Amino acid sequence: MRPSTLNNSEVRACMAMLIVAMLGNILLILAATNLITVQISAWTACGGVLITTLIASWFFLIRLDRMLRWDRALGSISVGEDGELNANLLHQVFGSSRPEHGWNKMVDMGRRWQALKELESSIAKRLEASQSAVASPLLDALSDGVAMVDSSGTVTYANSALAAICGEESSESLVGRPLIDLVTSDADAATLLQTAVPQNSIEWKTKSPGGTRTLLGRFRPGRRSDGASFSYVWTIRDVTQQRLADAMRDQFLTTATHEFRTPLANIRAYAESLHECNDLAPESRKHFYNVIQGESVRLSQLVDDLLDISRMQAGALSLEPAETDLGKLVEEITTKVQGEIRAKSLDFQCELPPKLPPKIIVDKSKVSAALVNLLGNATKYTPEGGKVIFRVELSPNKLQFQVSDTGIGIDPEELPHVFERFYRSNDDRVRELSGSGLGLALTQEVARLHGGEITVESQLNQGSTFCLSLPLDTPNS
Amino acid sequence: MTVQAKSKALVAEDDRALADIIRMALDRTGLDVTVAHDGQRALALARTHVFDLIVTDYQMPRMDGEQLLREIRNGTPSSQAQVILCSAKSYEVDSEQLRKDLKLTTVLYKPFSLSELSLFVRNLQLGPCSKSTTTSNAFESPGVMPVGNTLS
Repeated sequence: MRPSTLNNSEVRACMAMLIVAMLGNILLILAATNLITVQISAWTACGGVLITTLIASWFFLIRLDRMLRWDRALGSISVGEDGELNANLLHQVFGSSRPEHGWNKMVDMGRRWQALKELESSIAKRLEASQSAVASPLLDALSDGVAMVDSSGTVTYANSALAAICGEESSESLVGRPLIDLVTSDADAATLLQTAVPQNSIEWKTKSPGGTRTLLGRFRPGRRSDGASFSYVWTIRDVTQQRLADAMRDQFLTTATHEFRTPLANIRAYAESLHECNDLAPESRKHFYNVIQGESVRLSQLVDDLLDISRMQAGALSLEPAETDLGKLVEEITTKVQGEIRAKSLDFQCELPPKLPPKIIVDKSKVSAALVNLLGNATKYTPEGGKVIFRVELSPNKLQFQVSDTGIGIDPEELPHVFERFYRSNDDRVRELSGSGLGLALTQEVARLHGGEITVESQLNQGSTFCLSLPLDTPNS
Repeated sequence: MTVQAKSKALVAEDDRALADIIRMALDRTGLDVTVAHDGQRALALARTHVFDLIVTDYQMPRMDGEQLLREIRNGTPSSQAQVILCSAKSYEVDSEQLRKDLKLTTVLYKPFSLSELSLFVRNLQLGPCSKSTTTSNAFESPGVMPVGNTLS
């Protein structure tokens, strides 16, 4: 729709009015200078012609001016492919607006409305294009799942992380499906999600082929860029590992606290008894002092073990591998346990390969601590007169330390747990002896740090064999 | 202190040293004390004897203190016994709930004071046992501690 132009008759009428006006003006000038004599009626006619002429001229000029401005402005206001609009043109359109009536005003409004719609549509298209070009790779790079759902809860967009959380290969396969069905199979969790409040985090569990997983999600309402439809944006995080770590940390703290409290309880009770009971027999007093001393040592060992464990877990306890004489290492280890072996009259055998490598590269102090721990356990849990064998075996790539005993053995049900921190057997014969339940966990950590492993074979009441295998690393290899 | 007849006490504690010292403290309050080192043995004793007082650890091998007390309350001869639960756990045990569910007399957290335990036991209404109240020395009563002499 364009503004109408003046037709020929209008132009001719305007021209005639201009000529009449010019003649009238000439007559007026002549009358004013007394060059001609006119009657009053003639003055009146001339005045009428003059006023008419002025009005017609004003009308003609205004129409012409507006037509020219609109043609310039609207001819250039069409929005280009880049979606930009020149501010000067806008100023021309709106700044030049003056009150009009009738047809011209309708034309003006129509043109403005059309121009603005074109502009808005162009900007929206440009925005969506830029969003999909930039936002999609960005959202796919997130480790958290992101989904956009419509008011019925159906997924309209999902990123790659959400597809992984839902066990789907591609995010496109999630589109068009109800989000709740995708993220949980549990009815209670589904109810929880349906009644969720925007911005509040909710946590729920869902079953998957890999086991039960814990998800943490929140959503916020929003409008699509076209402004027409309502949508919700969900962010969902798989916190399964985090919750497991939390549970393990809590369990560790609980167990550690428990292990601290037990020797503390003994120290307090025996010290209090020594203080309060003046009538204790000398042998009882001596026994009480021994208990206090033993529990203090137990507490001190527990602190050391805990520190080692925490340093290992934090990665702060790094290996310090160095060239080590294997023969001397074995000698030092056996010397450390000789006293306990003799005290229990155990038959101790140390079996070495015929030819030992001159040097191996290990962290001597840690390997020594691990083997002393294994030999210490063998000695502790083997009855008097039993047998303990310390065997070293070499293969081209492996160094094996075997500690076998004819001791009390381990119940098959307890065997999978012996390397767990703080695990102590329920066997009374174990409970009677002090121990933190951290020694084998530390030994396993030493093996892991060296890139090796520790295994155990045991039969209840028959004995146990622990085997510490380390990669054979020599200065020549 | 006059003891008309000895009330019976059961100590269920897997730590030998602590079980021994609790036994000594309870002996000195005039109780006839029996010790078990795990929950199952304690339950077996509670099913065959009538105990007026049970002092039990919370975490024990084979059967923990909570399970033990539920079983004891469920129709054993010792179902009406006063119960003192000793625990090395603190925050993770809902002691108020346990107190109600298992009709606990009290809960002591390790490391607890042995003299407080003795005093508490002395002030309990334990059947024919003497009702003496506070004394200047909670361990008042001569004797040698029966080290290692436990029923297991």
